[in-house]
Amino acid sequence: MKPIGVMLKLTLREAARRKVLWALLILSVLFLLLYALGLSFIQSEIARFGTRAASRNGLDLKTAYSFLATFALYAANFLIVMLAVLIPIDTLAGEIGSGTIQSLAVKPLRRSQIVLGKWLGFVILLGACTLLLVGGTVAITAAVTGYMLPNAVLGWGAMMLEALVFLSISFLGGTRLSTLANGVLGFGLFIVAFIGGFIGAFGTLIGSNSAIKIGDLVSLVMPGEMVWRAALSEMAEGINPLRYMLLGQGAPDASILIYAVAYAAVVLLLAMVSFQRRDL
Amino acid sequence: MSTTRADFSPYTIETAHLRKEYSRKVAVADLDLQVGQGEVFGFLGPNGAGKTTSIKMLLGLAKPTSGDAQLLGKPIGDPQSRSRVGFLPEHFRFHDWLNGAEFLQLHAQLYGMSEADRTERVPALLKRVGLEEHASKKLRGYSKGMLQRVGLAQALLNRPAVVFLDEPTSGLDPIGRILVRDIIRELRAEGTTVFLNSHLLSEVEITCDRVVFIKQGTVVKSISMKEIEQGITQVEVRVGALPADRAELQRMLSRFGTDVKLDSDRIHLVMPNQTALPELARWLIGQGLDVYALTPHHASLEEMFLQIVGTDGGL
Repeated sequence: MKPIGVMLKLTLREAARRKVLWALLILSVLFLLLYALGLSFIQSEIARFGTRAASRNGLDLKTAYSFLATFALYAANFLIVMLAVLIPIDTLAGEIGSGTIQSLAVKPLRRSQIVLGKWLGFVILLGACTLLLVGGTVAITAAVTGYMLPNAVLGWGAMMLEALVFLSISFLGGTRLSTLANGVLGFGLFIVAFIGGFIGAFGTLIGSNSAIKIGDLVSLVMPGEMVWRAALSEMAEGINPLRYMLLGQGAPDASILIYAVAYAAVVLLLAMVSFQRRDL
Repeated sequence: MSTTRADFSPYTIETAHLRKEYSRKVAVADLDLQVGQGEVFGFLGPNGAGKTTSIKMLLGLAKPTSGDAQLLGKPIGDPQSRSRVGFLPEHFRFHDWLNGAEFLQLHAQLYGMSEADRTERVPALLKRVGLEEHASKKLRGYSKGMLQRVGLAQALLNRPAVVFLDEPTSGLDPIGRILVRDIIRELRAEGTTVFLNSHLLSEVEITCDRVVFIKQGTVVKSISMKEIEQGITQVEVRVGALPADRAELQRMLSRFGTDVKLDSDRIHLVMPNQTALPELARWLIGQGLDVYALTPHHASLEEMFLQIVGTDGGL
C-alpha cells in the first residue's frame, strides 16, 4: 500500500479506536433528532391552526420552512467548523510534541505524504459527517413538512469547502504551533471571519462602502464563512430572515467558491512545505 | 539494480563539518564521522553534547545548518536510503492505540514491505523480542521495557543495512539488556552497521567495535575497542623489597610511565600502552628486584570517558 494510503487508513483507524467516529455519529444523530423533534412540533402547530390561518397572519409557509431548514444547516455549519478545527488539532502538533512522528518520518516516504494522507483521512471523516448532517436535515424537512430545500447539494458542497479551509488551516498551524495555540488560531480565524461577514452584511443594509470593503477584505483573509453565506443565498427562499441577517441586501460573488478552493489548496501546500522544512 | 556509492564506499555513514544551530545555540559544532560497513559503532558524550541532534540530522529529522553528510552513499534525508535504515528513538513514543502486531504491520507497510514479507516478518520479530504473547495487547498497556522491545522490533523490520539505536536499553531490565546485546551481535554477524548511542558504557564496552567521544558537537576522540584494550594501562608490580634510594627508583621508573608511586612492597604506574610491559619486567629484575607479580589493569571505558570528556560535560 502506498504511503498516502497507509497514512489515510491510519487516520481513519485512529478516529475509530479513539472513539472520534462514534462521537461524531452520536453528535450528528442527536442534532438531527433535535431538529426532527422541533420541526414536528412546529409542523403540528401549523396543522392545528391551518395553513390559511398562517397565511392570514402574514406567514409565508415556504419562507418559514426555508428559514427553519437553513437555520438548522447554519447550526450544523458551526458544528462542522468546530469539528474541522478540533479533530485534526492534535494530529501533527501532538505527534511532533510527543515524538511519535519520528518513527514515521524516518521511513522511506516524503513528509508531504504524511500530511496528505492524514488530511485525506480527515476529509473523509468530515465529508461523511457533513453529508449526514445536510442530508439528514433536508430529508427530515421534506418528510415532516413536504418542503424540499433548493440547492441543497450546493449547501453541502459549501459546508464541505468551509470545512476544508479550516481543516487545512489546522494542519498548517499544527506544523509549527502547539496543540493549544493551534486551536486558538483556528477558532480565532473563524470568529474574525464571522464578524467580518456581519460587518459586510450590515454595510449592504446601510449602504456603507467602507463596511462592505472590510467584509470583503476579511473574506479574502479567511474565506470560509463567506463560502457558507454564498451557498445560503442560493438555498434561502422568500424573505428568509437568516438571509437578511447574514447577507444583508447583497450576496457574495460565486467566485468566492473558486477562491476558497484555491485558498484551501495553497494552505495545504504551505502545511506540507512547513512540515517538510521543520526539525522533528 | 543500479550501483550506489555505498557499494564502493567503505563507509555507511560519513559526515564532514556537520553543524546544527538552534537560534543562537550551537547543538553540533563541527562533526566529522566515518562509520564503516558492518561496524558496531558507539557514539558517546555527556548530556547536551549533541548526540541525539547528530542522529536526527543523519536520519533527516533535523536539517543541518551547514556541512555534508552521506548515509549509505546518498545525501542524508534521501527517502530511498531510508528504506535500508532502522531507528529506535530515544523517547519511544508510538501510536499506543495500536496493538503490538498492528504497530509492526503499520511500520512494515511504511517500509513498503510486501504482504507476504510482513506476514512472515512481524510474528518472527515479536517472538525475537519476547513479545509473542503480547501481540494483540494495545501498546498503551505495555510497560516501558515492552515498548522499547517493540520499538527495537520496528527498527529491524526491513532487514536494515544500518540501525540507529538511541539509548536502546534505558528502559530494560538485565534480561532485556542481554536480549539487545544478543541482537546487536546477530546484526554484526549479518554485516549490519549499528550506530549505538548509550550512556551505559559497560554495554558499549561489550558490544562496540569502535567508539567516538563527542563534546560540544565535535569529535574529541575516536578509538577502537582493541586500542582501548592495548592502551593506557595501570600497572601494579609486587616486589620483595624496595631499594633504599626510593627517589632514584621512582625517577628511573618514570621512563616507563607516569604517576609512579611506591608502597612498601609495591610499585604503581600508568603506562601509555602494554608493549613496554615485558621490558619493564626485565628492567626491574635487572635492578635486582624480586618480582612476584606484575598486574596490568586496563582503563575502563568509563575511566576513559572521564579522562577525555571530563566531569564538567553533562548538563
